[in-house]
Amino acid sequence: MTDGGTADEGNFADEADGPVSEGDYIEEPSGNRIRGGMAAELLTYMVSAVVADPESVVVDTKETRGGVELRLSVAPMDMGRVIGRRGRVINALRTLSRVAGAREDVEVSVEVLG
Amino acid sequence: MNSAMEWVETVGASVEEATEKALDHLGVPVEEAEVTVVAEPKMGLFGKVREPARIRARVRPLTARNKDERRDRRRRGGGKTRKGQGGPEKSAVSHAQESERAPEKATNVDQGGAVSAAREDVPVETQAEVGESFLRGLAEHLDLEITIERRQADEMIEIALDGPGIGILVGSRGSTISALQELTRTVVLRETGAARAMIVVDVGGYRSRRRSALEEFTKRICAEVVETGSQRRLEPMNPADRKVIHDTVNTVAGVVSRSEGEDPSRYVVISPQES
Repeated sequence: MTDGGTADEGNFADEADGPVSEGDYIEEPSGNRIRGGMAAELLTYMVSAVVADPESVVVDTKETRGGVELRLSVAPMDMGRVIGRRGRVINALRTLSRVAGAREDVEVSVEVLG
Repeated sequence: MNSAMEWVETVGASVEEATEKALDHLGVPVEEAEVTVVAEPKMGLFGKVREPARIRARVRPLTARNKDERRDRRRRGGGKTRKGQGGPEKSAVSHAQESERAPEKATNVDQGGAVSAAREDVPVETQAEVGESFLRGLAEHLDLEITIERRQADEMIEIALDGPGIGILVGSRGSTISALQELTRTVVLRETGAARAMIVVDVGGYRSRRRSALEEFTKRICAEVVETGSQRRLEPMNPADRKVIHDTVNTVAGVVSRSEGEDPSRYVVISPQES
């Protein structure tokens, strides 16, 4: 009885593992495994070079119907740097993120989280 | 590059508008330009502009920086350090005080500690290296194998990228090249606090081909304008292309050029020179 019980629990845990890990690990280990991963890494690289506080740069990816949305957040003092005069910097970041997306056949958009 | 030192004078309904025109003509972002207001606009009745704003601008020269910025001359290469308010490197206690007296430089100063303060003499070479290494990293992230060629002339740096599959970095009408250039300029400015050299990025020889084609085209139009005596309005173009047009028109007698409209549909008008 005890043996059977343990086995059952084990099985149950195994079954439950799939869906749970999918949600948990979506932004995990090697960025290239997620859709838009290359774009996300490129965006992180570019933004880090532009801001004063690279450690606060965070890029999350979100699957959308059309493709992948990259959600960028930076330190509040860096907002202006990332947007640039008349949005020139953010537009350049968008252009190049889309190029990276195209490499992986993913439509990429970039949103700045205020 | 002589033109980098030349002043242009522009007019507009407001100082901003005149400045925009000047930047357009110089082909540089505002951070790289030196702008002097010659005359504020005079307003007449009902908000009509009686006399336009008049400004003079030029590309900020490499050497003429004012003395207050001549503070901290430590070389680059302190490595990335923590950034923060007005962030000179933490070790530099005595310098910290000094740089507080130059709060206007804070935006440049706190760039990851790469350079602790703007110096008046960041060599063109250093600016070019910063730009090049940024572009190399960018290409790596795109899994692109590239070769980079750098040409420097006085205050102009051209960084030319080439390699198999480089075409994805051109974009329609060179729009991706412009994005690369914008970012490279921004990064160099942040890293060195002194991007006074003008940086031009080219990909797969696109810009040089486009430049020759545009020059030819412009000369043809100029000849037509001179012949017919009536002005010609060109299709909308990006700032880089417009600059080529303005520069070419400048070499032809009897014609002048100006830009009209708002980006991205800003266009050049070539007209006969009056008088």
